[in-house]
Amino acid sequence: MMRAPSHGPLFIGGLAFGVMAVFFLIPLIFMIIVSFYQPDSMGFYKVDFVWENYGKFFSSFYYTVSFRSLYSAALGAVFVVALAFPLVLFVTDLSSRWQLFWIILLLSLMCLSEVIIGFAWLILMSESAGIPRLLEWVGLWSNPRSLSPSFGAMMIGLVFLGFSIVSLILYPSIARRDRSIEEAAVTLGTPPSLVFYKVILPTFRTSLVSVTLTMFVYLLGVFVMPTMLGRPKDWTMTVIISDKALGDANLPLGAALAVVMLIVTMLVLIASALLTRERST
Amino acid sequence: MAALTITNLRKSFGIFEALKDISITVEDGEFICLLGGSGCGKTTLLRLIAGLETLDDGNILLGGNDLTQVPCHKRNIGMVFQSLALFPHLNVGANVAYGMRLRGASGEAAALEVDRLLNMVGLAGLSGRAITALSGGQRQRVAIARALALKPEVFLMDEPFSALDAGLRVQMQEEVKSIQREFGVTTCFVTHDQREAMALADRIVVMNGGKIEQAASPEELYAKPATRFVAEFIGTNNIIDRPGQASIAVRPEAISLAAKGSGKQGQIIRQRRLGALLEREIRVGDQTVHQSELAGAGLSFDDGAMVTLSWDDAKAWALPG
Repeated sequence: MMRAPSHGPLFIGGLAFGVMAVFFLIPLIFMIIVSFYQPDSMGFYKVDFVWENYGKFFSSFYYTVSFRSLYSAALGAVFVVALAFPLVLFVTDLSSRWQLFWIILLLSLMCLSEVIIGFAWLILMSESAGIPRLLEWVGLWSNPRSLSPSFGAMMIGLVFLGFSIVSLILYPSIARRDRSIEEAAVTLGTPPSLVFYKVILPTFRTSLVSVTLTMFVYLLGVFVMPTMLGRPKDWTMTVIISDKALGDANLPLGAALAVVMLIVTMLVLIASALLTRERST
Repeated sequence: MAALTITNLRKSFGIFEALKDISITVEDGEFICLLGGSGCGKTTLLRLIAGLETLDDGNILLGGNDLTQVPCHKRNIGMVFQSLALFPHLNVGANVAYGMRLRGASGEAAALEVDRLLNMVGLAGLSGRAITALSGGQRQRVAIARALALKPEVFLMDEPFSALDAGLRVQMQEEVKSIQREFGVTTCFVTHDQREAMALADRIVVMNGGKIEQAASPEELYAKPATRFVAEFIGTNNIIDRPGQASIAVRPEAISLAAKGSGKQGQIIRQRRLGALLEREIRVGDQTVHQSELAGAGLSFDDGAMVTLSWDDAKAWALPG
C-alpha cells in the first residue's frame, strides 16, 4: 500500500519559493524596468523606455571595467581554491584535535566582517607599519613604500575573504575521502610524491571546478576589498555600479550595468557547466 | 612468482601491539587465508607485506629478496582493498591499465593486455564503461584485474567480498580461486569469515591477539585444532575439561545419545530440525554441549529428557597444552 504523500516538503518548498519571489525576483524585475528609464540629474530617474543606458555600457570604459571584474574574480577564485585545497588535504591528515583547531580557526575567520579584514590588511601593508617595515628591518627593502592600494593588495584581500569559505565547503568531502584509493595507486607503482597529481587532484576535479565557480560568482560581488585595497583602475563593476547609482544618483545606468553583469555571469556559468559536463563523459 | 618468508615480525600502534612475533612461510603459488576476528592483526600483517605500514622489527623475504627496505611502490605486489579503491575518474579500461601506463607501456600494448584481463575476469567488452555504471560484482572483477595487471609476485586481498550478498560472494570466491590457479600467484587473503577461508585456502592462518594460533590446511584445522581458541573458533566444538588430563574437543556430530547407560548424563534443553540435520543442546553440569546427527539416524527424545552422552575416542581430539 502506498503511503499518503507528505505535504510538509511541498509546503516548505512553496514558502521558500515565495520568499525568493518577493525578495529576489521582484527587485530583479524592478531593476530591469528601471534600467530602461531616463536618468535625471535632479531626481533618480524619469519613467521612459530608452536603450541609452545599455548603449553606455559599450563605451570602452565600462567595457574595460567589466572585463577587469571578470578577470579579477576568476583569478581570485583560482588562487583561493589552489591554496585552500592543499591546506584542507593537509588538515584532514592531522589528529582530530588539530583538525578541530583548524576548523575553529577557519570559522572564526569567516565571522570577521569584510571591513575588518580590509582594515587589517590596510594596516599590514601600510608604509608606517606592517610588512614594508618588516622587509626594511630584515634588510630586503631599503626604501619601503605602502603596498596598497594596488592590484596585488586587492587580490590578497579577495583571497583572504574566500579562503575560509572554500576550505569549509571542501572539508567534509575531503575528510570523508576513501584513502585506500591513494594506497591503491601506490601499490600500483605510483611514487608517493605523484599521488596528489595522479589520483587526488583528478578525483576531486568536479568539486574543485564547482567550488571555483561558486567563488568566482562570490568575488564578482565583493565591494569593500576593491575600494579599500585597490586603486581606482582596479575597481570592479560592483564598485562602479554603486558609484553610479548612489554617487551620481544615476539609478537607470547602475541598473543597466547590473543587468549586463548578471547576463555575462550567467553566460560564463552556463559555458563552464557545459564544458565540464562534456569532459566528464 | 615467489615464496614469501616472514620472520619475527612485530608492529605496534602506540601502546597497542598489533602483531607480536609473527613467523610464517607462504610457498610459491600457495593460497593462504589470514583468518581472525577484528583487531587480531590480520589486516596489519597484510599491509606490512604490501609495504603500506612500516614494521617495528622482523623480516619479510620475497623470493629471497629482503622487502623491508623496499618502499611500497617498488614492491611487485597486487592488492585488492576492502573498499576496492577503484579510481572514480577513470573508466574500467583505464583503471586496469593504470599500472602498465605508469610503467611506460604504450596505449596499444596496454589496451591489448586490458582486453585479455577483462576477458579473464568475465568483463569482456566493458573497457569503456564508467566505474559508476558497474554493479558490485563487476567492480570486484575490475579491482582483481587491476591488481593482477602487473603480474605481481604476491596477490593480497583484504576482505574484498564483505560488501557482497551471500550468493554473489560464493560465486566470486569460486572465480578468485580459479583465477589464482590460472595465474599460479602466491596469494594472501584476509577474511573474518571461516566459511570463506575454508572454501578458498590451501592453508588457513588463524590469528588471535596479534599472534598466529595455527597455520594448517582447512581439514587439519577442523580435525586437529592446535589450541583451545582454534577449537572454539572453527566450527562448533565441545571442549570437555578432564581433571589431571588435557582437555578434549569433540565435534557435535561425533556425539551419540542413549536413553541410559554409563557416561556423562545431561538434559536436552533444545532441539532444532534444520533440513536434514537435527541439532540438540544438552545441559551437562554447567556446560552446554552441542550435538548433531542426521535426522532419523538416532533415537528420538522429548525436550527435557535425560540422556547419556558417548563418543568415539578416535574422534575426540586432545588439545595440546
